[in-house]
Amino acid sequence: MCYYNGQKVSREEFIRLMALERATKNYDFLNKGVISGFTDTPVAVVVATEGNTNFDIVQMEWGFIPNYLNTREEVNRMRKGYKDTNGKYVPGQPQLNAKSENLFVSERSGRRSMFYDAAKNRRCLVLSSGYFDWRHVYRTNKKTGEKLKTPDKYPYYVSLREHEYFYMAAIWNPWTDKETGEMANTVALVTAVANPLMKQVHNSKERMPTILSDELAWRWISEDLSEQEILEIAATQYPYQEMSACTVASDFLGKLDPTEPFTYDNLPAIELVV
Amino acid sequence: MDWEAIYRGHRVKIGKRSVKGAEVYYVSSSPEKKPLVLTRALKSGGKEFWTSIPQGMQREAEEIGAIIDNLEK
Repeated sequence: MCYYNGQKVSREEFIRLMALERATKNYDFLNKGVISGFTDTPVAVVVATEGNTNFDIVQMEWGFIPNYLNTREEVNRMRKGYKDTNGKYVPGQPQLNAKSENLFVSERSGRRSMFYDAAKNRRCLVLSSGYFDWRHVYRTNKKTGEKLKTPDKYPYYVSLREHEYFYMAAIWNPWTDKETGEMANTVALVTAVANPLMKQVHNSKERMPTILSDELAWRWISEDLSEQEILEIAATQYPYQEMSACTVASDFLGKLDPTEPFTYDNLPAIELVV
Repeated sequence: MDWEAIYRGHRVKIGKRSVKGAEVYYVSSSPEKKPLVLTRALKSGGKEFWTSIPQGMQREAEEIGAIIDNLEK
């Protein structure tokens, strides 16, 4: 007979509770209302098991680390930016997202993309209940009538009307720090061209995460797909009629319920022409 | 599944999750604080009881567990 929290339990129950302790310790993302790509909080990722007959939920670091980076120091330079040998600032690239158009060929260089292997062999899904994006609104100068250079930024919470949870297409890469031996599985969300709703919400970049139906999500992680099929699924635009976008408070990150709607006076409504 | 409740005068958020086939409940009073994790377990006589995971918060587990029982009615 054993005791758990002062209660007499069977050995079998004790073992179950101890296993649960270990499991909850490993899944520290479950209670997070908001996971930011700019913190170290791991994200919940769905990967197919060997043989593609089932799937597992695992934790990964958000921010794809390519294998040509050797150390954490190099990773931090890539993510946060640095000054090159001429003193010129090179902006950071956190690699939180992988554009669907860039999965096999880099748009910038026209050469093989750093996402190539992952897109071909390590596709996964990020579980989400909703995400936040910012709408940029430019006020005009009252005297000159010209548009101000710096926009006001309004956060929106975007979710799916009929789904408490949904899948975002992603790709992952196992990375090892060649100095310390630290191993990390890192992940990037795949993004598509924004649909009519997200074009207005994320109006600075006009992109959106590739949200997949259950059927496409399963194909994304479990099937041996051709490059063409991968590109087609990666470019999926989830129907805007099934999505909702609602403004939230600018300090939503610190709120008990970050998704609580908040109304901004003077913010023009989103207009959708159906 | 998520709820909000008042516990000892504080607003808390309660989330229900499935971990390794078991139902566990996360109780958060602030996004900065580590959540309290609760689950239902079986006493040796077969009766259910609320417990914290890990051990050490039995009183809170029973009090908040009773709130959850009500929420799930």
